[in-house]
Amino acid sequence: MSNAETNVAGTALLDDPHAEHGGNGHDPNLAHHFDTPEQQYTSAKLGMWIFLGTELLMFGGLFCAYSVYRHNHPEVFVYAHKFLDKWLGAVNTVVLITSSLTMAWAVRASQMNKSRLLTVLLILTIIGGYGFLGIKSIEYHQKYEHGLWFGGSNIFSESYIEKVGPKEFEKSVEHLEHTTMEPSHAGGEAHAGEARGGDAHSEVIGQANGEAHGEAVAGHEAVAGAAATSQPTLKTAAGFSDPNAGLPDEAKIKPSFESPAGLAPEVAAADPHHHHLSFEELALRDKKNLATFFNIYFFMTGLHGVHVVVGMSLIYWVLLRSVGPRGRLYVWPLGLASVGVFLLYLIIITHYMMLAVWGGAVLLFSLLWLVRNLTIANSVEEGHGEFSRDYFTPVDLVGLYWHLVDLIWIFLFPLLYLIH
Amino acid sequence: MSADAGTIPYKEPGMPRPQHVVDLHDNYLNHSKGIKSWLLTLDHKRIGIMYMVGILSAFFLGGLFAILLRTMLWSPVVMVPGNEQIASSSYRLYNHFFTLHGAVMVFMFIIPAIPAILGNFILPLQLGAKDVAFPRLNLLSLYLYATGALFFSFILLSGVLHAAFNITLPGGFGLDTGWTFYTPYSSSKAQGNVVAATLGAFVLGFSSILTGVNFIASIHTLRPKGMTWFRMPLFLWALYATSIIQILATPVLAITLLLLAAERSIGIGIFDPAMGGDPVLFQHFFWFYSHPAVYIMILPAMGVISEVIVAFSRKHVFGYNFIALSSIAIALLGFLVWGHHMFVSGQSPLANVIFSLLTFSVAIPSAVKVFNWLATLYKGDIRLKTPMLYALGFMMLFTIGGLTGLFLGALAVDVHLTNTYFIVAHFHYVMMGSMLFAFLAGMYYWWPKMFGKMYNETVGVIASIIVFVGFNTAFFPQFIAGSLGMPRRYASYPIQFVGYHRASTIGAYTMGLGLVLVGLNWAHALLRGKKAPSNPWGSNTLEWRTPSPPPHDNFPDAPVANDPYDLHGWEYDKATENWVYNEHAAGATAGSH
Amino acid sequence: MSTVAHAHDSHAASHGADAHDDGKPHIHVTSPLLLLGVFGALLVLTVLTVAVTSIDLGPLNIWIALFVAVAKGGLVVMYFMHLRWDSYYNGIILIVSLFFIALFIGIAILDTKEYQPNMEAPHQGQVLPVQDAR
Repeated sequence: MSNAETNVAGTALLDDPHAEHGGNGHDPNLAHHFDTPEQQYTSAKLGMWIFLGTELLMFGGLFCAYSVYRHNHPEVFVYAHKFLDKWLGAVNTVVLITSSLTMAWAVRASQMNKSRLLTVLLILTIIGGYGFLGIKSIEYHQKYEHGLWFGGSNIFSESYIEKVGPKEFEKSVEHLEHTTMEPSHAGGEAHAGEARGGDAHSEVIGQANGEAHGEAVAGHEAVAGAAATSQPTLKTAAGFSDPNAGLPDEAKIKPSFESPAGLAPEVAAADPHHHHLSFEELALRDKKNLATFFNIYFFMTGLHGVHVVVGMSLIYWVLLRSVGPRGRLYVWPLGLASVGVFLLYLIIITHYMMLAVWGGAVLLFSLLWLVRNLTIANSVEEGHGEFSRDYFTPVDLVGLYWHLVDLIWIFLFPLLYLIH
Repeated sequence: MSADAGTIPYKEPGMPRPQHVVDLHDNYLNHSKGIKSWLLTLDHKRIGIMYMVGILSAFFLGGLFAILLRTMLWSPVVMVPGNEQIASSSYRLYNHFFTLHGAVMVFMFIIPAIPAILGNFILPLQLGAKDVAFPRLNLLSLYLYATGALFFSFILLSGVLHAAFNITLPGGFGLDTGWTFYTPYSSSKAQGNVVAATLGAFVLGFSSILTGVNFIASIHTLRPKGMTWFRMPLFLWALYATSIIQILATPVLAITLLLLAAERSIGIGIFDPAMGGDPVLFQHFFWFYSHPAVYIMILPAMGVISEVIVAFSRKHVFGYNFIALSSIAIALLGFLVWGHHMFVSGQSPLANVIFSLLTFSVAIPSAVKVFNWLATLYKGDIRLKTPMLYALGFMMLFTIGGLTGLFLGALAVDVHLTNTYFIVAHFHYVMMGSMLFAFLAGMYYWWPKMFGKMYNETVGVIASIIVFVGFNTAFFPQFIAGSLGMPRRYASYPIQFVGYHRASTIGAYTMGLGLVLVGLNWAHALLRGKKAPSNPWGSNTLEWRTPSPPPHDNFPDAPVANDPYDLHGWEYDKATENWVYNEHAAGATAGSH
Repeated sequence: MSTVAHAHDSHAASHGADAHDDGKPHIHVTSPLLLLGVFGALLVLTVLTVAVTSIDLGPLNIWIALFVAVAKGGLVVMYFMHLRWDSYYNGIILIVSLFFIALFIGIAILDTKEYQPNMEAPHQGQVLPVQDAR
């Protein structure tokens, strides 16, 4: 009893079985200050729910900021959300729901003494987390590439406009609209390959619409705030302006108002219900506020992503406890490899693609090898893990946390990607 | 309620045991030795003591700067005519002073003081439990507090050093936004190291959340046999209500600070009008936490007062259910009134009216408490020991603080009084006059239990009178100065206010003197204090049924609770200076009722 | 995988019932069918919420999206998170948290909506009449 209180190894904070084995400590999983496992289980669960309540309120504050901003600037959201890839978002929703299923099933497996199934399901859940973060980092990578990053690295931000000048800015916005903006009615056209096609397309259109430059310049100045009075910002029939505006040879390009051939008319024709808002059509104040949408997007998904990483680490910790000593030999390096995967994702975001591919291949093989060995070890020492139907609290609590992460994404997805 | 005592079999497991046998051998202080046994302890009592060291240090720091502030305000003029350099640096210094005073006192002293010190120590004892529900979480919460507090005070102190001596530490320019971090000043204009300071406050907030989680779970699941919800000591009701606020409000502070940090570092635009954001929204965010936080400060104080008043009136508490439920009512109503901090901040007239009306409603449960305490005192056998003096002081000061709050809740009057010294006086009466007095009452009341030593009663009484007089001298003139138009947060002031300010400064020094006396008394008690009996005040809550200081496992045998405020049967034993339980007497008096 | 789990289902359930008196926690084991059913429902709702964005319903779109999200969240909370079989307190915590979030968002929007015209007036070059303070 004397030294017992120095035992604080491990991170089980709400669930505290090994703190002290004093008094009635016949049950190794029962902490000294509880009378029965039931009392301990109820406490742990209550504590976890209270903690989840605090998480909800924290995100609630974020949703409040979101709601107020969206309420005051609906057009900003309608315009800017189209730069997000709703199909990647939808796939991610499915990935996260699936990992929620495997987690719920893992709880069931632990309640039924199925330690091998438990291990498998935990690994599947972690893989789901990898999948989610992987897709997320591809999304972030696209945003990074397109200059839709947060803060001053967003092309809509004031500092960016100041840096490149209004003309260059207008050009890049237009380029962006044609390469990345997703025609929301038309399904998955906005994926990378398609986007490239659109890219080439838009240049042609740009050539064709050279005449529009005069109006476009007026628009630039209004955006940059250089022109105090807002001159009417006209637009071409196609709904966008001249990418060559301001270039020395712009005058040589022939105007072509009559036949605005290209992507935009097709888009408009394909969906008569929709009036697609373009940058030019936005009110001046909305134009200045676009960067904020991306900041909100990155803040919300970033904070959620942090929660995903924390959840995965917790699942990993449960995994470690769910296997026997031989299995642990493989779980430890699995943890290292996981850190490697996280690093890889960071690399993907900041676009060192080749490095990411090679690193990914190496990591994938080592992960597969580890999982294979783990499964073998686990089949030999079934039931050596710590969890059983009498003691599965950590699996249960970590499961709750993971479902909360899922829950928040369920709300983030429609609020960020599916704005009408 | 006292009739129940007869029907519940009263068990007194700890008491009949001879004191010296238990005391000499095992208590939580000598249970294990060495610095490691303290730093890694899971014992709620040791964690409470370590909190005490940290929080009292924070109080010293905040108090020191209060004295420095008041010293600066002795003279109405900071500016040396013709020397702009000195003037501007003094103004900067003043901004750093009041930011440090406010931020340290609020985040590091007032909010954690009673829950983290007395709550941690007393809550499991009053529950008859061996520990809080999650001891490791408790230790983590302590370390978060320590980390956050050190970091936060380092940032704040760097600012002071920079402003005063032009010394630049890694903390940079510190913080001069006031403890409220209002945007857009904090997000774009302030020179200081706002991001680092918000991170410090963020970590402190987490510590507070974890304590709240722990207390709620403990109260739900660890109550002993015989302790139904409505047989809980009122201190536990107060801590329960406090914890509700901590877990519901503090996360919003966390996200507020994160958003502020993001606003300042990358300019996310939510609070920035140039990017379509809304600076008033920041105030909604901030006060959604910080108004309930006022009740985090005052509710546990009310819990302490309920305990102390019963013990020193030798009488069953009057209106137990009302006091208990008014704590919950205050906790919930406290969430509906945050907008009254924003009456002149550009909040809409509609919201102003709603918040003004709701603000008045909080007065109801607060007054319920005060009247019930008064009724408890009525015809009681009142003993004016040190804790009781502080409790009586609390009742007076809280009434003044609360009633002046009603002035400020009235829309039209608030327009005149807001941002004047009237506000400063009002919240010092509530936070300092009420919370600090209750904290001192609680510290004196439970001191014998915590350390097994008695303090010097005479010195205690004298110090309490000095603190009371000093406090009123310091803050009552501020009501008058404020109503005459003296604005807050100014380093210099018109000559007509010099009398009020000097009275205030004298009061501050007097109170400082009284508090030094309190500290000396405690230090003396620790080193030379007389041995404390198990129940020096004759209270009936469970913590008094174990030896002082309690053994490592709190209770030799699991206690069974009865009505915590039924004092029948406790008789004073002059030889041991202890109150002992006489079952026979209890039965006789209970029967006679 | 699911068949194996099925075989032990009744056993676990009976164990849970037996454990009533020895201080063991009362556990509820969710059946695989229910888990898969909830999973299926979540997928269907996800498809629904994506599909509904291609139909223009005006302001109704956001409410449908939120309604579907609440339905999905409800399924996750009730079944995946076991709240249906859990202690009432845990449910109360959830409801109270959501209530306070709603309160916060509601009042913040109410307020910002009220004073927004005052903020926007300068942009539109209009001067609002001074508000009557009666």
